[in-house]
Amino acid sequence: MRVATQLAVCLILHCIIVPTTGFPHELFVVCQDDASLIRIDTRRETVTARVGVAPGPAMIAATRDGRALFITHPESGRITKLDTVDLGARQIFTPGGTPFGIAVDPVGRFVYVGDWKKNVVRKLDAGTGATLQETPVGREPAGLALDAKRARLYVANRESRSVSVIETGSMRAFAEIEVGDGPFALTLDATGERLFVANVRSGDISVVDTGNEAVLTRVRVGGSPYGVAVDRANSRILVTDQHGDKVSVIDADTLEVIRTIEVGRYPEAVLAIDGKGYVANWFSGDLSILDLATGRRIATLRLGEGPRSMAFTDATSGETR
Amino acid sequence: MLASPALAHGPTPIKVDESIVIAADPKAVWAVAGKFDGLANWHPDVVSVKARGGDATGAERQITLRKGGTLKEGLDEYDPSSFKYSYRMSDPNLDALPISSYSVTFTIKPAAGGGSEVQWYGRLYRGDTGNEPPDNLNDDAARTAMSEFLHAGLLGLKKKVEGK
Repeated sequence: MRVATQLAVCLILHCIIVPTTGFPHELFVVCQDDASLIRIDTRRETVTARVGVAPGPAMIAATRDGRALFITHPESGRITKLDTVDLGARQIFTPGGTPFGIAVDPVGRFVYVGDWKKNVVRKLDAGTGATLQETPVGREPAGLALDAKRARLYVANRESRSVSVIETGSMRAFAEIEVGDGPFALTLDATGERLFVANVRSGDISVVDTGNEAVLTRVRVGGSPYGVAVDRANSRILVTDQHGDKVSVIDADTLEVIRTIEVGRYPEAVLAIDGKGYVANWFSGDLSILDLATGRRIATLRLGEGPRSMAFTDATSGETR
Repeated sequence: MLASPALAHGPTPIKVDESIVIAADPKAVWAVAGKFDGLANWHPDVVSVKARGGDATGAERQITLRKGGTLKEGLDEYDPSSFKYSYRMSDPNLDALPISSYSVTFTIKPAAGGGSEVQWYGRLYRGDTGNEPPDNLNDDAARTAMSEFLHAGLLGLKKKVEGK
């Protein structure tokens, strides 16, 4: 039945979908220019689905169980909600404005989305898309990072050189942390105690102690760092350098750059999964897969045009923050 | 409150990608085009370049265009061993170029049939980053302006290197 539904969707969307046995280890990549969503089985390093989405998709978030995906469309003020079991099953939310950065809580009850132009973060009902609350943040909110356990949301304010910290129950912004120039992407470590913020223009990473919202240090990486990820398996931080066509690997304990790895052209989004690094290269439209223990590039997969963001679903780990 | 032009950015980047084949080896092409402050020597649309910092990361240049107007750019990466450098716009000048932000890479590779392939490519954002830009500041205007600038430069470089 499921296969039949997917085949019907394929006929409409001119896509490919290979049926999979559940959805435990799947990486989803959003390509902005050809409005596509690509699913990758990270155990087999293969593309298992390519489907079209509404025009201009930018950022993506997934629930912990991997059942639901949320994708922003900043130029049309929309959000697409997809079911990962049946990629053709969709809802369109219309919060309006310029929705860009997005996060969803683990159980998929609330979605948080930044409005790039209106400088607010909205809390939406993830079932209906209704806007519940709106919180002013800094200018051009880019990446969002959610710590659901502590009910905290971190927002990179690209043009305010700062990160806003929001308590997600009340949606009160209770702190603003000064970081480097052009903060775009940010991510938390496994404990939620450290926040890593990639500053595109100052070419460095601000390391924040989330216990007291203090900046511990700034790690120089150079170029234009557009993405940051935590490699829990090796206690490393991965940073994409969009101008250098490389990934810098930072030791999470010493906070020093210990290695750089060449990838495709203009790398942007990055994730670390089970000791492997996945780097979406915006210009060359491909995915570099890295062995993080050796620093070797082990595979390159063709994506679509203009890959911007990625989400990983792992129903078995329960670690998604 | 509106973002000041110096900081305006946008959520949807645009790709530009130009290339040309030149009948000289990469080293010879790099000797002409590899200096960050040397653009006026080969780009027909550029009258002069004021620069500081040489070819070190963080160097800056101000380009004066033949049609009038100036562009300020900063050097992000410089790798002479692979004949490659990347730079980005420092301050937008929408009268000179309808682009609010850009980053660009110049590189030379050996061409398949001998000689060099010069690639000049980048990522940019339209002049008006709002969701309803006027025609002169939309995606097409930005893409066209930068593509034409890069293309004209590559033709000028080919002419200069090949001596024709």
